[in-house]
Formats: sequence, structure tokens, C-alpha cells
Amino acid sequence: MNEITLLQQHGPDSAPATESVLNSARHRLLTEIAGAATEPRQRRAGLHRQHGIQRARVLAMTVIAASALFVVSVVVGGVNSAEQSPDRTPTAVTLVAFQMPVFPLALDPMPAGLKAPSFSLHDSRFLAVHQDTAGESDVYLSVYDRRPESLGSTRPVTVHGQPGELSENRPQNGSKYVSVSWEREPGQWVRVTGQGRFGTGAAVLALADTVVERPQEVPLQVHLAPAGWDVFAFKGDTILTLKDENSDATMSVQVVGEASSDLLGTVVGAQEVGRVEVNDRAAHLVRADEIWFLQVPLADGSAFNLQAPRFMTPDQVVAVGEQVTVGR
Amino acid sequence: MTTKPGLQARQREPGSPAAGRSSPADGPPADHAPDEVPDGSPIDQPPDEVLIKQSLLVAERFGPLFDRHASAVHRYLARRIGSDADDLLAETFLIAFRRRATYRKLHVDVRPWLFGIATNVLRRHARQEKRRYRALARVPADPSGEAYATDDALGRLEAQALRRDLAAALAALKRGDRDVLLLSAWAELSYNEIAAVLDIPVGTVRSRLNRARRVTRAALSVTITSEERA
Repeated sequence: MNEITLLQQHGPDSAPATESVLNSARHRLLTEIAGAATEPRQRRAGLHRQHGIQRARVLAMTVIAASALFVVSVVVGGVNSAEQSPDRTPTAVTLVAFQMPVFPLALDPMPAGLKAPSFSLHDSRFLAVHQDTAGESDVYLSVYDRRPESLGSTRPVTVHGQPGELSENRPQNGSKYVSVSWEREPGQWVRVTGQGRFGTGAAVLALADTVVERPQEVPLQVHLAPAGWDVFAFKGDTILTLKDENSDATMSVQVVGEASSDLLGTVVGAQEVGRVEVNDRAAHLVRADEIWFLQVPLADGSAFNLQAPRFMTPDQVVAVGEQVTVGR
Repeated sequence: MTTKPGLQARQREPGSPAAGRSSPADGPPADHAPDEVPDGSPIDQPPDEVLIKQSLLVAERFGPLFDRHASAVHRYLARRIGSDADDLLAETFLIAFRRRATYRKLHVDVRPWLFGIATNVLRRHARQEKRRYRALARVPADPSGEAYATDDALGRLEAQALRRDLAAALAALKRGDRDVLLLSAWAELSYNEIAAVLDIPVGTVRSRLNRARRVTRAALSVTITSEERA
């Protein structure tokens, strides 16, 4: 009998999961799932309150007219806006140059052993996650446009000469997270959170001292978008959703590991697939019942999918696709 | 990445004609997902990886994965950390749900993927796990004092001694070696699967497993020898 078999037959054991335990865990999961299904609508509009984040949409710098059949661009004070249907859903759009939000801060110096940050933006929080290469110690640098909620027990501290708050938080059976937050400048709150080797008061205060103003571009960029549309959410460097400020219309870009070989079978309501060129690269444009779906392969074997409403024209969808860049 | 962030959730109910297919308004495409999944017949239940892809479109499709794998994941967690496995089970599946967009069938099946997440969850409780093994290594043999009467009782005594020695051996292992050994022994993952879920080369898996088995064998040498004599 070898060690593996001995471990299987005689190693430490424990009681099997009871129905109660399984039900409790299932309930927690289903609660999370239910939240995920409704979250996007709940946090709509949150991103329109942008805080010290450098964000600028350059309107009317680049205007690409939609097809003549549908487009009625209305010029209001020199700014192109979209024609709206009575229910506020646009029937056509005008494309303008678009600039993605830029994460305004950085850690300098970056602690050894941390990977380059990945960025997420939702509601009032712009987050840079610095993961430890060993997978045990992470640093979260967050920028808010309002004072973030306190986490756990707190005590006053001073950061960069400003009053701040040091807090500790330990989720149930989880690792300890230590955070320090302060108002870095009027209307811009910063929180540094450490875990693992960074999960001490001294560590996060030392990290906070290294926070400097250094804009960092997020790796997924869209440089062209319908006028009047803004970032709705950005997640983990790979998913971006833009939303019309006056309706529920959205456009999203997602980086995926590989291109689908069966777009007709996978895109809901797909009617036909056409071949298009996006920056001299062969791509596929799917016309579906309600949307356009553009899939563009990238040099490294991955791809990005652009999902846009049908009131945009095919030329507009391709034009937006040509202005998508994927960094890293 | 926690959810299907930023994608307008104009989701259809599972089982509706469009369920399992992607909609730009709903989220990433669920490649190769079936058009419809009839309920009630195990034969018609889609494979794990299809459920993962469908869950990107309809989050609720993730639910059946819990029912398929929760007991096995709990057993693995419980053998390593005891009663706290009850909480870590939920944590494991919450993390899996939040990371489902990063799952890739080409790398590993869903079951080993879940064991990998469970193992990473356990890392935050490494001291607790070690304390458990040390405590098990100190459990006295048959406190009733009645064990010497029969062959069965002698067998139980040997099993208890084995369990103590195994617990002591596990406590003595380096965390990375222990992860590999127990993913092999208790989760029954292959070398390639362990390498994938721990994100280490297969060669490292082999060397860690060899080292862990050597340490365990050394700790058990007395017990095994006596067992073989019997």
C-alpha cells in the first residue's frame, strides 16, 4: 500500500457535508448569482458621477456620419447629439472621438513582488489591483469621488499631512485586510488596502506614503464612441461597456481568449455573418435580431468582441472596432 | 472579475429558446452552448463547461455546478481543515462564480478547477490546517481501553496509529508539497490537472509529489513495517 492509498484510506477525515451545510452554502451562492443578474441595472448611472478621475470625451473632434438613410444628426451648440425616439432610445448616432478614463495615481516605488496593476471601474470606485506574484499578498489602490464607507474598526491616522482613517476588516473565515483612506484632494478620496504581507497598519501606511499622482491608461481602449455615451463599467482590463446617457442602449467590448468558430450558433438571433476588414485584419460582423456583433482576431490568438445596437450602421460598428486597442 | 460586469442584464430565463446563446446586450457569447436544455432528465443535462459558458449569459446556469460538485469539494476541504470546511465551501463556489469568465475548458475540467480554487482558499488558512494535523497526531489510541479484545479492535488500533502518523507527516510537509500531495490523493487530480490549477510546471508537480511522498513514507516507516509484519 503506497502513501497515496494510505492517505485515501487512513488519512485525516471529517464528517460529510450535511444537508444543512449544503443548503447554507447553496443559499450564499444563489444570493450572489441573483445579485449578479440584477447588478448592472442597480448601478446604472453611478459612473456618471466621476470624481478626480481624468476623463474627457472630445466631442466633435472626429465625427463619422451614420448612413444617410437613418442618420439625422442634430447640431446643438456645435455638439452633435443622437436623434432620439419617443422612448429615449436613439434611432441613430454620431460617432465622436472618445477618451477612456485614466487611473490617476500610482505606487512609487512599486513594492517588489507585485505584478502590474489591473483596473476596474464601477460606481464611484476606480480600482487598481496589484497582485502578488506568489498569490498571497495583494494591494488594492482605490480612488473615490466621495468618502468611502468605513470598514470594521477604525482609528485616526495622518497620511500625507491629511487626516485619515486606518481600518481592519476580516471577512468571515477570510484573510485580514487593513486599509487606510484619506481625502487626497478635495473630492478625491484614496484608499490603500493590503492583504497578506501588506495586511498590517505599518505596511499600508508605508504604501500610502508612496502614492503619487501618475496617470495610468487602462489597457483596453476605445477611441471612438457614439456622442453622449459614457463608460458604464470597466472590469479587470477585459470588459468595457459604454452606455447612452439618455437611454438603456449600450455597447460593449470584451477581450476573449480565442475567436468563436460558430458565430451563427452562438450569437442570439444571428441572421447572417459577413466578412469585414478591421485595420487590415479579416473579421466577422454578425447581423442579429437586435444587435451587431463584430469579432476581431488579434495577433496573439485572442480576439475582441464588439457588441453594438442595431441602430448603429455596419460602417459605424467597423469604425468603432478599428478604434479599439488592446494593450499588454 | 466578480460578475459579468458592465453588461446590460437583459437576460432570458434558462430554457427559453435563446438561453445558452450569447446576446451582445446580455454578455459574452456562450460558444457552442445548446439551444435549449430540457429539465428533469440527467441525460439531457449539459456538461459542466457548457453550464459555465451559459452562466456568462444567464447567471443562474451556474447553480447546477454546485449540486454536482459541492459534496466532493466539501469532503476535500473537510479532510484538510475540519469543520471550517462548511464556510470555505461557500467561499470556494463564490470565487468560482466570480471567476467563471476566466474558466477555459482547454486548460482543465470544471471539477479540478474547483479543487484548485478550494486549494487556494485553504492557503489563507494554512496555519489552521497545520494545527488540525498536529492535533490529530496527538489523539490518544482507543480511550475506552477495550480495543485489545478482538482482531477488529487490533485493526482499529493500527488504523488509528496510521491516522496519527499520517497527520503528523502532513503537518511536517511544506505547504506547496502538501497541496500537490492532497490534490493527488484526495482530489484525485492528474499531474497535468494539478499543474494547471496551481499554475506550476508539471515537472514541479512531480518533484513536489516525490518529495511529499518521501517525507510521508519516512514518517510512516514504523507503522507500515508493523502492518506488513502483521
